[in-house]
Amino acid sequence: MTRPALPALAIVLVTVTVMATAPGPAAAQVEAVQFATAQQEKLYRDLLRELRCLVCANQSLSDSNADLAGDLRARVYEMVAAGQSRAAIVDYMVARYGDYVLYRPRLSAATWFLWFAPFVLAAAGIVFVLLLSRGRHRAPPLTDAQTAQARRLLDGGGGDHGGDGDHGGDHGDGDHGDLGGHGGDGGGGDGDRGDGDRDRGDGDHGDRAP
Amino acid sequence: MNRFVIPLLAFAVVVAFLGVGLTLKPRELPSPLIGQPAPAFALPGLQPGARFDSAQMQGRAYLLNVWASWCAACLDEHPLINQLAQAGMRIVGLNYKDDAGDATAWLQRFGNPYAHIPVDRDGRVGIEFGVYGVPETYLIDARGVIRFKHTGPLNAEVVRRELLPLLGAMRRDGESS
Repeated sequence: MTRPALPALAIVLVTVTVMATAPGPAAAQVEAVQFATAQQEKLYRDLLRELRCLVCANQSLSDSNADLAGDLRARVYEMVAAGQSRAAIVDYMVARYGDYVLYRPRLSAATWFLWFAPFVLAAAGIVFVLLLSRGRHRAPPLTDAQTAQARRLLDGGGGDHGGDGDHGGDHGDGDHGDLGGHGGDGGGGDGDRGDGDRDRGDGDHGDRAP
Repeated sequence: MNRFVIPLLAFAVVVAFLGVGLTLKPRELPSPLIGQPAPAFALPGLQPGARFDSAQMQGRAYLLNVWASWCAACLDEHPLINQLAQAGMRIVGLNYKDDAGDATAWLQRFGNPYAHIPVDRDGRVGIEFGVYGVPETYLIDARGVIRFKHTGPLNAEVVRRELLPLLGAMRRDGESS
């Protein structure tokens, strides 16, 4: 159980990363604009991606066809064309619409949880998984005497129905061998526990057979 | 029993967060403008030849109500706006991205509570105020500072619980309204 957990964790992490870096929905029809310099053009595009359309909540200014988004694009265009800095334009928007207008919220008393919660939660998750897997490893293995006793009991249970019982036993042994092979690198504890489970399974099989 | 404790705690935390989330109103953004001086602006008025300059409102508190004839929610709150005007509140109606003919007809039909009607045809002044939808209502005090903002149609509850106490406090502080 512990070993499959790590690949699963890796898959989750990869998925989250891919989702976070995947391109958003196609941009809306943004007005054709012209700038004196390439830097201004780039600043304009960057700002449109970073500023949120307030009416449509989950779209950036460049994604949105809403009326207000168009107005705000026009305002950003004017300010960029007038040579204002990125900080000045972002401040202008934040002063009027609040932090909410930013897709990348600033680090402040109100947003630190937003910024750090993913890392805290991921760390907590990893710790949780590690604790869980250590717990599994520490499950006390059956002693040889216990194994022998279990085998004796189970053999006794299936013994009445000779043929079926044997059949079950053989079948079980085959699987047992496979499990043992897997368990080899996992240490004796896993292997032993596997025996117990497998044998118990055989017993059920034998009982149910008639 | 013990192994249920952690999932149960996790569940409780998730429920708590979702519960708080349910009570939040994402449309009601806190305005960073509260406590700030209202943006100064000058615009043509709705009546031909009229002009409005925010400087002329200095010295007395007033409501700035952002409205449009195309806005259904504005009609919802309009009786209340009329009532406030009749009670002596000075109200400036910022006509937001509207057609002058439509706006005039709308006021004739539903009543005109506004002392002044600056016309913000392109929404430029709206951006200065951080307007992201109509209607929105601002309370601006005698010194020109924004004291209160309501997004969406004003209702009696908000007037009773927020606006009136605020007006009362402003009057006690020696500001006339």
